[in-house]
Amino acid sequence: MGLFLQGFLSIFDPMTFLFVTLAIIGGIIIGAIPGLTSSMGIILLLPMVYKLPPEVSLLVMAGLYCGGMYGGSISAILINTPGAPAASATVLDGHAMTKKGQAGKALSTALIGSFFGGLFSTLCLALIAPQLAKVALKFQAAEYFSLSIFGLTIMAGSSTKNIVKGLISGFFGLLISTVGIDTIVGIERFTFGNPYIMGGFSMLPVLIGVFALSQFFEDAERKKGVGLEIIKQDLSSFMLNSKELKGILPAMLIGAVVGTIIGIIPGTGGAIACFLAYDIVRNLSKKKDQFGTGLIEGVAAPEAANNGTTGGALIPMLTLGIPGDVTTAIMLGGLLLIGVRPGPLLFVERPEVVYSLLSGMFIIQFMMLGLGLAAAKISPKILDIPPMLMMPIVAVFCVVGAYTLGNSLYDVLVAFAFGIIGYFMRKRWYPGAPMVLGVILGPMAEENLNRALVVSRNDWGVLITRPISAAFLIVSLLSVIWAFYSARKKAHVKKTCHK
Amino acid sequence: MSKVDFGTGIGIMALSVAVFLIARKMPDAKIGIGPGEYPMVVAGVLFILGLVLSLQNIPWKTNARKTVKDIDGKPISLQMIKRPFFMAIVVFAYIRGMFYLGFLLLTPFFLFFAIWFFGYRRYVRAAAISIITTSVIYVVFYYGFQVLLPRFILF
Repeated sequence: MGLFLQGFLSIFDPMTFLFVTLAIIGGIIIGAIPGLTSSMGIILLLPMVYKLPPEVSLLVMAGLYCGGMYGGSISAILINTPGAPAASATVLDGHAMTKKGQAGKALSTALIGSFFGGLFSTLCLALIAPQLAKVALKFQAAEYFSLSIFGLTIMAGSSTKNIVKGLISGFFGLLISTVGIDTIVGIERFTFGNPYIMGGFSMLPVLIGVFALSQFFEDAERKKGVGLEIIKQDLSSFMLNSKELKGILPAMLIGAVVGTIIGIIPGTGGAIACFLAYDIVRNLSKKKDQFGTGLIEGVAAPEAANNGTTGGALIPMLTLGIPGDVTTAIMLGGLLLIGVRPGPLLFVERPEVVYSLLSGMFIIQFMMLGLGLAAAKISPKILDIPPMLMMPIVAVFCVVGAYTLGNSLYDVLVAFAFGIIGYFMRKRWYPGAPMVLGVILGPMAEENLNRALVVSRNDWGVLITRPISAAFLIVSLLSVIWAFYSARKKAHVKKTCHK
Repeated sequence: MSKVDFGTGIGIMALSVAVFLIARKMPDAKIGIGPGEYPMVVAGVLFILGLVLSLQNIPWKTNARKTVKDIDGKPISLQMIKRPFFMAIVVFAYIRGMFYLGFLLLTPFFLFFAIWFFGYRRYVRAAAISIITTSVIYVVFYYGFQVLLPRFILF
C-alpha cells in the first residue's frame, strides 16, 4: 500500500507531471497523423528516456502509448483515415457520425471509451496481473492460428450485407500477406523477380491506401466540388447525456474485456482487438443492422478495446518479460536501456518501478480524459476546412505517412496501388476492413499453423484437440453459417414483402 | 443480380487457379507446411467464394430481382471513372517524380493542381495554402519526427 501511495505521489512531482502531460499530448498528435504510430513516438523518445529516472521514463512511455491509442480515433472519425491500425474499426461508425454532423459526439464517445478501456485494463494490471499472465502462457501456436481465423471470419461476416464479399475481401488480404519472402523457409513467393516486393506488403501502406486514398479517388469523381460541401457539425450536443452513457456501458465493458485479453496475448495488439470488440458488440446488439451508419456503440466498443490493450500488453511485458505488442516491445527495449529488467523478479527487485507504473497508469487515464476533451473540442474545427482543400492535404499526409514507414517510396507506391484497389472495392461494396485484417493476421496465421504442425509432427488434429483452439474454430464456423443463414432469411423476407 | 459481380467471381476463380498453379511448384516441407501450401489453401477457399459469387449473379437467371434495387454496388461507367483515373495518374506521377524532384519542390505543385481539380477556384489562396502546407509538413516531419523526406536529386 505504501508503494502504491508513493507511486501516486511521484506522478504529481511537477517535472514528472509536465513530462507525462507532454507525452500524452504528443501521443494524441502522433496517433492522429496517419502513418505515424505510438511505437514510432516511443522510439523518438528513447534518447530522452535514457536521461530520466526509470519510474519517470516508464510513465512517459505509458502516457505516449495511451495517448497514441486514443489519437488514432481523431483522424478515423474526422477524415475517414485511421491514424493507427488500432483505430481501423472506429472508422466504420465514427466517420458515419461525422457525415451526420455528429463529429463532436463521436470524438467524445471515443474518448470515454478509451478512458474506460484504459482504466479497466489498468485495474486488471494492478489486481490480477500474475493470473492473467498464466492465461497468456496457455496460448501456443494452435491457439494463435485459430484466433487469426476467428478474427477474420467474424469481421468478414459482419462488415457487409453480402457475406461472400466480406469473406472474399478477408481471404484476399490473406493472399496478399503471402507475397514476399516466406518467413519459414525463405523462398520468394509471387514476387516475379521484382526485388522491391520481396519484403511483402506492410500493413500501414495497405491501411492508408484502402481507407484514405480510395476515399480521395472516390471524391475525385465529383466535378467542381459538387457533393463536397462542408458538413455542418452540431457541437452543442458534444457530450453524451446520461441515457447515452448508460447505453454504451455494455459496449465499453465488452470492448475493455476483449482488449485486455487480446492485449495479454503476445504478438496481437489493438488492431485485432478493435475489430473483435466491434463485431461482438454488433452481434449482441438489437440494432445490429444499424452498425456502420453512425451508432455510438460502434465507436465506444473498438475504442475501449484498443485502449484496453494498453494495460493488457503491459501484463506479459512486466510479469514475463514478453512484450504484448510492437509498442511494448519498444518499451521493453527502453527499460533494458536504463537497467530495468522486466520479468518475474521485477516485482521483487524493483517494486518501486512497478508500483509507480501501476498507480501512474490510473492517473494517466484521467489526464488523457482531460487532454482528450480539449482535443475533441478543437479538432472538429478541421472540418470547417472545405473538403476541396482538405482532401488534397489529406492525400499528401497519406503519401508522407506511408513514406515514413521505411523511408522508401516503395511503401508509397504500395499505398497508391491499394488505393486503386480500395476504390474499386468501394464501388462494388466490398468492405476494406476484412482485407486489412487479412494482411495483419495472415503472417500470424501461417507462422503459427506451421509451428503447431511442426510441434505436433504434422498432426492437424492439434487444432481441434486443444480446447481454446477448438473453441475459436467452432465459433468461426458457426459465425459463417449464421451469417449465411441470416442473409438468406433477410433476402426471403424482402422477397415476400415485395410480392 | 449483377454482371459485374458475375465477372468478378470468374476473375477471382481465375486468380485462384493461377495462384494455386504457381504455389504448387514451390518446394514441399517434410514437416509443417511448405511455402506453397498455405497460399494453395487460401486460393482454394477464394476459388469457392468466387464460384459462389458467380452463381449468385448468373446473368441469364430470370427472376423478379430486376425490380429490386441493386444493393450489391453501384454500376461503374467509363464516364464515372474518368476523373479518378486521371487523378490516379497525377498521384502516380507525383510519387515517382518525388524521387527526382524531392518533396519540397514537387508537393506545392501537386497540391495546387489537386485543389484546382477538386473545384477550388481562388488561385492565389490555393497557391499560398499549397506552399504553407508543404512547408509545415516538411518542418514537422523533418525536424519533429526525424523523417528524411525525399530531396531534389541534384542536392
